[in-house]
Amino acid sequence: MRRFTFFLALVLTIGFIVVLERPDFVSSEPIPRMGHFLSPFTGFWKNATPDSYFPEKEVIDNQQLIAPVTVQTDTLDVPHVFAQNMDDAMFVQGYLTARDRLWQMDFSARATAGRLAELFGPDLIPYDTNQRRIGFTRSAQNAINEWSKNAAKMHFVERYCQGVNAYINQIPKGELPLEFKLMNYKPEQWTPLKVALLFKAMAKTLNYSHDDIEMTNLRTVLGQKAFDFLYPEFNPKQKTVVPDFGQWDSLKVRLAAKHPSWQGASSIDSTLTTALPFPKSNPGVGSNNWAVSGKKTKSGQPILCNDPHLSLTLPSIWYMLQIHTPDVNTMGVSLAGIPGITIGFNEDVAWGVTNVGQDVNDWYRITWTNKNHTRYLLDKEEIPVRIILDTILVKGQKPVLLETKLTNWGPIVYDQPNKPYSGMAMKWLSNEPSSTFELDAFFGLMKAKTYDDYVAAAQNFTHPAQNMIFASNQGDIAIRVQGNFPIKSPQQGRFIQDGSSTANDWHGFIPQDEIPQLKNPDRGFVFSANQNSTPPSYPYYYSGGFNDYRCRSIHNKLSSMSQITPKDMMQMQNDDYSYKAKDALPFMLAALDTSELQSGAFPLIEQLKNWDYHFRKDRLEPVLFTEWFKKLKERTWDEIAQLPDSIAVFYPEDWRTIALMSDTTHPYFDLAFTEEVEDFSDIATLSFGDMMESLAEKITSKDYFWKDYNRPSINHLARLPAFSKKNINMSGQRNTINAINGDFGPSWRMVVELTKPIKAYGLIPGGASGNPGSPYYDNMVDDWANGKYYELMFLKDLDMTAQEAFLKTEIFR
Amino acid sequence: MKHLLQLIIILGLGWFVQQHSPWWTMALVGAFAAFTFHKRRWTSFMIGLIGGGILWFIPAYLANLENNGLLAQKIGVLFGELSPNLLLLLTATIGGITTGLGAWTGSAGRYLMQKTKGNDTQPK
Repeated sequence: MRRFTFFLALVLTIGFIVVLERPDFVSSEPIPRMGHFLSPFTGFWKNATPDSYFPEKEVIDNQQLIAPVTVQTDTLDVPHVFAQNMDDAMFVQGYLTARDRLWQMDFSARATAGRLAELFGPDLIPYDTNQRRIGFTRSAQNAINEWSKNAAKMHFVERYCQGVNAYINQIPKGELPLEFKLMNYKPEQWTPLKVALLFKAMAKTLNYSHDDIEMTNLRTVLGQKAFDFLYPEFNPKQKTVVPDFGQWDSLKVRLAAKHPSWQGASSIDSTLTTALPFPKSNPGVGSNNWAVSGKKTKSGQPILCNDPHLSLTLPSIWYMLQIHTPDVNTMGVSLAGIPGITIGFNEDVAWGVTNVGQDVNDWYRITWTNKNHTRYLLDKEEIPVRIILDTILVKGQKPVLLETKLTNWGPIVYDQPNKPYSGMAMKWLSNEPSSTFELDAFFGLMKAKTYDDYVAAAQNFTHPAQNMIFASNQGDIAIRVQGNFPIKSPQQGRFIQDGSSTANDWHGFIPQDEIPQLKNPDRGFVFSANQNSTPPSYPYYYSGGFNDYRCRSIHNKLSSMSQITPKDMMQMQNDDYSYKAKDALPFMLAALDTSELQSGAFPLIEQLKNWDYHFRKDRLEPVLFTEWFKKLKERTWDEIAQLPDSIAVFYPEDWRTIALMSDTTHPYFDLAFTEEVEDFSDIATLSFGDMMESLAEKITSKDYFWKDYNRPSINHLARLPAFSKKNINMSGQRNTINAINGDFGPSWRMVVELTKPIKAYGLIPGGASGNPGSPYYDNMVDDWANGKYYELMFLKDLDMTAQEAFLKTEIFR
Repeated sequence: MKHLLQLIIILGLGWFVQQHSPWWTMALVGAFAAFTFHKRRWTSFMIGLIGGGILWFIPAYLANLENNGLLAQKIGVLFGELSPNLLLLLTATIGGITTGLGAWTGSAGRYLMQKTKGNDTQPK
């Protein structure tokens, strides 16, 4: 009996522990080890950061530093790093970023490399497969090979990694970031390869987009004439980044004489391509930046502003910090996991970036010459593909072996016959070997003092192309459409191309002194908002996706402003006026046939007539307009909507739809499925009815507004709702300067006045800490939503006297 | 009195051991205390339950207090709308049961040894 009792007790004890310790015995879901997770010695309670207590002064030893480094953390929880040399500064940047953002860094690098199935199981195999077929690890390794040629700067990357690892290797017991405990895995060592992976991930966010299939389908279905009419490449209402003031005249002549072959059309595939839905980049990715010269400001010194619009996440993509050495004093935001400052300022200059929408991702149809698709035709020769073997580890399952075929153009990303782009090769600029040390652009900008320094630094930045804006306290303002741009024949890369001829390849890259650029224009400002880089008169051809409206808001506002103060600029970054609504709504209202509408429509029409085109959070009009315009497009483009689902297409751009509205009897307004002949008036009226039907009781509820339709939110990186901020109360829309679009929007707002000393303001929609248990996880979100700013504490020097201005002071030695 | 001493041993030894070793070593702490003090199995289990519960509750309670319940509230939502107080209770329960089960095993082990040594008296 006693023996039985003992063994019963033993078995129960061990059983209890095992159930809590090895959840993988019970479930394949990545659930936490509950005993470990709830223990106040190891679990989540350890991540509950005290919200008032911080050590006054702390010494952190054994840091492999050349000289001691002091870090003062201000009341926003933003660190200010005071080092004796950049080498040490990079080390400490790595250490601090890891302490605040380790899970985010680790997760992002694994995701980019296509290594999520090993953590979360077989559901992630398709995701991993796609990442590996594109070849992120391969191209990150290629980047490292190029970077390593610049040993001095590569050393900064290595020091940053050493700093990250110094933190990882001495994480105090129980203080592993919460998400590791929740999902039950451990961080890996940080390496230059991971830095490069995150850089490539950023490139994918910014320049991966491609419409080759849709464009090819549309042109084939509609015919060239209708296609050209509906899908023109340039919206004349746009205000381009760089206008044509005759600066390209000689270049045009030179190019026409030297390379007549570029002027000819390339061989374009016109086979209909079946396509199932597959993920595309979100059009919410975009940004604004502008710089005004001293003659337009109250202080007489330039002001530079930047707000990059990205997927809004917690932890924030950006990590704010100041880096101070005897030679360099700079502040701004870095990408968590990448050394240096990406957007920011120093004592003399400021810089910022927005994305360039030029298409640098082209697809080539491969002519296979054997059944196994291992040989293909290139310039009349049979060429074997290179086969890359890869192993995807899968949690709870056998590893999956993956074969990727590499052609002369690039990888075959999809091989299943029912997938879009099946059997086609992808040539994506950011997958090509690097030609520069891209990060050196930022190392250069961090210490730039003049316009010439900026130009020299910027030229290292080859991809993802950015409108790189600049201002200095010497009074210069400038912008460069900065990147490597493939030289293309007209229309090249817009459609799927024949991959059997190298004549369809890019014709080199546009020389850096011929990329669009602008310095100190008479109008007194430079700006960009993801619009076209240039008017069509620019001698090099490019296509892509560009925003039509924010550029007009910014251009028109800055043109009329004078005596500008930083406060004016902050207001402008939060502006919610829509040129799209202004362009479209008067036509739509004028066309309404009120005799055809039910009585409930009349108050709505009155409301819309009185609307000032501002997308305010607490107004119904933006909802009415947005939904009405959406329905109107569906009615107008019924010819396109009724194409079989197997043919991927999209509607003409909104500006094209609006331009058609003045031609009220255009045949495109006739509905294909009716006997009668409809005109724009019929379409406007019918779609108004559609809008009322789809919004239904929301219209009459009196408590449904733009914010409820747009639903601004900031999601946790692993989409855990408990760690996310949902339904934030704020104004704006993706075509207004304050480009709030669901979970996309301004991921950093910065206003810098280049006075002496410099004055800077900014904030991120999150906080410094990546720990959901820290009060500094999302402390800036409310002020960000309300359009408030913080004056950034840009310290001239280490300040050991005003301790109350800091949360803590730490000495690394 | 010996009950109290056994409880103090669990708290003191547990505190020390938990700083450096996995959470489940609470079972060993409970077993050690019960084996040493040689009490009824049920009594040992209860002392373990209370000792382990207190040892896990207090640091969790303090962490929660200093954090203003910020994280506990989020974790509660994550686990299906548990309140921070319920999470604290759950924490104490797991600490307690682990220690209690260990204590029960320890106590039962002591009985077993006594039997094999031929000494079969009931402990007080």
